[in-house]
Amino acid sequence: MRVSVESRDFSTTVNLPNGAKLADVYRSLNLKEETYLASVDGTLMTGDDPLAEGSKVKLLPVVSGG
Amino acid sequence: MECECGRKAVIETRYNRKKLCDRCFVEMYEKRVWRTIRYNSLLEKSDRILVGVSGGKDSLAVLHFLAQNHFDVTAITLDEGIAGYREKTLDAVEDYCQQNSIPLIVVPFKEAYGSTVDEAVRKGEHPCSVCGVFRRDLLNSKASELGFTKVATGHNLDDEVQAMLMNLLRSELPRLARCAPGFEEVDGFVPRVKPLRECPERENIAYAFLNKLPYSDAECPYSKSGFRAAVRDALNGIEEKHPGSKQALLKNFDELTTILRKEYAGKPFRTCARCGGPCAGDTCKACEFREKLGEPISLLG
Ligand code: SF4
Ligand SMILES: [Zn+2]
Ligand SMILES: [Zn+2]
Repeated sequence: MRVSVESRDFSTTVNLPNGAKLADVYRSLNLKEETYLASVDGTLMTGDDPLAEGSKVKLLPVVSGG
Repeated sequence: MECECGRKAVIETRYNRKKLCDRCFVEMYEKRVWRTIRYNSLLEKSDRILVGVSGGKDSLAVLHFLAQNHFDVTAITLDEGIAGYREKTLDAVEDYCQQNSIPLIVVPFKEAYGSTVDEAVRKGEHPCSVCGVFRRDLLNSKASELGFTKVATGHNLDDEVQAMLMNLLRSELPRLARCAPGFEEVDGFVPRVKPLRECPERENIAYAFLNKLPYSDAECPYSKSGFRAAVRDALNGIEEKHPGSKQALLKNFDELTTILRKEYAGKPFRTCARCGGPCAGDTCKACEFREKLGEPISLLG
């Protein structure tokens, strides 16, 4: 299934096997889960929440400066 | 994944091995802020509070918490003059204050000191030194000029332990002493409070998100450089392997700095010969920078 991923510094689409979870998005993009909070289709989600075809993942970066 | 209450979890807090739903999270978060405020006697309902708001998640979170809990708040945004950064965050602050009928004051560094941070950098200064000195000076001078009784900022757990560790690594014990919890009553300074100092940065994002705060996640272009970034990355690395380390560090630092504060207390502040503000030497750091950056001294204060 295809899932779109958007963050402050990038946006991309990832292909994941059916039944994939949010944690698989971090893994496939080589990102650390601790570094982000994630919303899926507008709702905050945790790593073991399942995704669906066409899910829109928004990664909110934790570290900021200023 | 489920919260203890049976609702769907939206966040995992590894330091206490909890998974929390939106309601339980916000309740836990607000309880903690209340505890910080009460335990350290930070604020009274009678206080007139000037809240330093950058438009990021932390400062909007503290403004939101205080406004929702019926404290008397006014927001102030300092425009440092950092191209491509402050414009975005200023919009966020204006939106929020307008929607919530909170008075907002915007003060550009250029107006107060005759120089922006970008200009200071072009003259060879370190952005964060100039920025920090001007910010501290301006928050205090505006607050005292306008009769506020407290200045509140959105500093979070991460900011606090980073600052303390940096002071320790640089052998700046008097500065470390000033990081003690609560606030000091020093002549010439409006007391500064940090109600979110026990809230991890990550939880401020969750709080801002769940309350639909229009925060900006724009990053200051200067924030990647320097010592703070190194300390931050080291602390994050430790926290990742040993969840709860930041909280432990804050708790232990708080004990230490409370002792240190007594040790360094009572050093009387003097009056800046130029602007009349409080300072340690003959002139304050803000006036030193103002002069160095080659601009005429403005008619502040
Ligand atoms: S990172 Fe940017 S906003 Fe923060 S102190 Fe440095 S210059 Fe100022
Ligand atoms: Zn719950
Ligand atoms: Zn001065």
